[in-house]
Amino acid sequence: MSKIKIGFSLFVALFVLLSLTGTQTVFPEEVGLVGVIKSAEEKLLEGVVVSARAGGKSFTTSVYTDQKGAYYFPELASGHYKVWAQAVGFQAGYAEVALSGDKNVQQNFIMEALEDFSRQLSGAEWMNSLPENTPMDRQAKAILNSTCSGCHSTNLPLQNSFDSHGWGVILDYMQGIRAPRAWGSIWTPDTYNASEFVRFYREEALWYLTRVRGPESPPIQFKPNPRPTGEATQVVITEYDVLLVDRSRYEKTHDGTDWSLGPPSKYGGFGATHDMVVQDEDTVWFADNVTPERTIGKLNPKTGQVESYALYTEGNQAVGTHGIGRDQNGDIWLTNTPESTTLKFDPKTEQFQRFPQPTSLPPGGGRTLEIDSEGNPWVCAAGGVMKLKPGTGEYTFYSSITAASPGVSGSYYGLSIDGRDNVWFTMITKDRVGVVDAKTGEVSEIFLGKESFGGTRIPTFEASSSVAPPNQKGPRKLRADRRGNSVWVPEFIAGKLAKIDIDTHEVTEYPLPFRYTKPYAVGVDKSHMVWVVGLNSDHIYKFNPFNERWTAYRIPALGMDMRHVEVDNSTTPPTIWTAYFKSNKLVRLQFR
Amino acid sequence: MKMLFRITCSLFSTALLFFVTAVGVPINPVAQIGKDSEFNKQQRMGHAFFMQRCAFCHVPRTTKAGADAKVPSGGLLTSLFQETNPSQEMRVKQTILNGIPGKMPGFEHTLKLEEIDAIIAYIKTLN
Repeated sequence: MSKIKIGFSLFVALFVLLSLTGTQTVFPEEVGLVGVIKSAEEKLLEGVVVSARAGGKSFTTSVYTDQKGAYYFPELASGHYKVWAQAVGFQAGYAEVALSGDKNVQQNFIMEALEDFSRQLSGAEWMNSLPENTPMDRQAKAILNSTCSGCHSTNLPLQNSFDSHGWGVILDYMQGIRAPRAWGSIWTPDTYNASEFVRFYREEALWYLTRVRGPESPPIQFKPNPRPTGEATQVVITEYDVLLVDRSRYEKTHDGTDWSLGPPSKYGGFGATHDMVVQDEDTVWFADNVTPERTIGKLNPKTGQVESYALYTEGNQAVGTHGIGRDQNGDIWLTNTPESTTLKFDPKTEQFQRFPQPTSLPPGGGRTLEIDSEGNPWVCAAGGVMKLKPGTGEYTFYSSITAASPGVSGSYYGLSIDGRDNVWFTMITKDRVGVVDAKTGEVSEIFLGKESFGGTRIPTFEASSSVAPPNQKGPRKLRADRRGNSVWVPEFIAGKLAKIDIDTHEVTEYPLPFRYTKPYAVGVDKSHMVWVVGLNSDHIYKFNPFNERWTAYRIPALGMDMRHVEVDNSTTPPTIWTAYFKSNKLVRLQFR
Repeated sequence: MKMLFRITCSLFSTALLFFVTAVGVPINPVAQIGKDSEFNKQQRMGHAFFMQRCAFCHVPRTTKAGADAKVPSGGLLTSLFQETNPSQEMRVKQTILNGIPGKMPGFEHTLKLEEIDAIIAYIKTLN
């Protein structure tokens, strides 16, 4: 072959190569790690999550490809990084890169399609893919949704196929699960009751599970949710590890990062991260109900370093905490779960102060907490809410109108304070929202109604906070828009977001964009955008109340449950914080 | 023309180097992703599947006091492979595949044989 022909051939090859590597894509100049992602068929892929983690670091940073298949990371510290790209339906891409901080590194991926991607699917995608051709199908799905996914994502069981014996054994074991019904420490086994709901609906569930996930079941036509597009790709997500107690042999190694392994289990240790509050760009405080050595933790988002502070009980265990808030003086307030009371933590002195409540008042303090404009913490209690005056240590109890059933707390759980200092609270099992009038102290209630179930068999016994009849709404961690006139309520069982007008008490409901999401908590930012997190769907949702449109942000992990939203309004646009309860991570969303 | 040839070759070499660097060498996904671990690839996979499918009955609960002192309903498996015995591995594999009547579901319709091997490889680390 002549040199001319060889040269021409090489020139053509060079052209093809440059096209393949996506050098035509223009990346921002100031960035380090960039790339383009295509399918094996050369199609540019939008909404692929690309994650990077430096060796020896305790956090992972993730970004998403745009409509040109391009991604770019914010400035990352120099170091050796593992980089991986994931999208449902494709085999993940993996690489390692060295970043030096002074030049761009382009890391492209070509994603191979997978024939079987079922393990990559969220619980909501699994549920949405199951047959619902008949009324019995639809009723059975509603039962699975209300009975199972309050405690675990539905992909955990549905990724399996069992015969009727296998599913029967599992359902029988589930009847022994201790669902939190009575008031008290949510982690003390003695306070848990067996799940009557699994027992009540055992036959319906067994029939359906064996029919759709048995050895003879027809193949499922999976319906994955669309990948993020447009605005939903313009986010940088940082996931910070929070170490749990060392459980040696059982410590979690699969934490949902690798989608091909399916959802992680809780049994490697979970629950260290639930609620958090942002102090500033260097400090995020979080409550901890599980770790023996921690009552409150402090994360430095710049380094990923976590510091722990403990208040010990007589049994030499750190007091567990759930709700957390920061007052106008910078002090941190926490709900003390085992002692059912309230704690103050002074970040300057690093000292705790207990605020025991009189025994004449119903037990409280174990759940959520907010602080009013005068610096008074409010907490939920069995049968209502309580205000604590820090100066005197005096508690004032405000009873709900609808009484909790005897022996059952009614799951008074979510609490939020509006711009007029009215205090709003949810009664999960009663489908009601209560409100304490700031001026008069009078309590009124709003009934959210019932869901249409279609079935006739509805148990009459009281629900738990996590397991409920399929016709229940399940209002959970609501949040008032302190700059507006709305209170936003996640309806955990119904899968909807409810808006309550604080003047008229009119209720408007909005279904979440992906069915079978279990919305758990809400946050409202300074622009009145409503942020919703929950279980079973691995998305964080933004609801724009002005045009009533949703934006669904995919998280980089599979099988997570998120139970709190914290808005940091000090940035523009606001920064959103949440936590993976199941894998002990604090999670930050920054928007481009 | 010689110059064009040289320039083209040079560009091609540079681009090829860039391409190789950019696309990267595929690496073991299970071993490389997420947290570091002392497990090998098979044990990591087995650990994930064990936690998903076996932990409910075979792992103590986490509480504020650490691991629950109560032995889980299916018993701990920490001594299942205490003695090296090939027939024991076969028995465990058969139990995972077929289950135990009234007590444990069989995973024959769910897990591939290599995935069951991975679970066994993880259980052996519990010794």
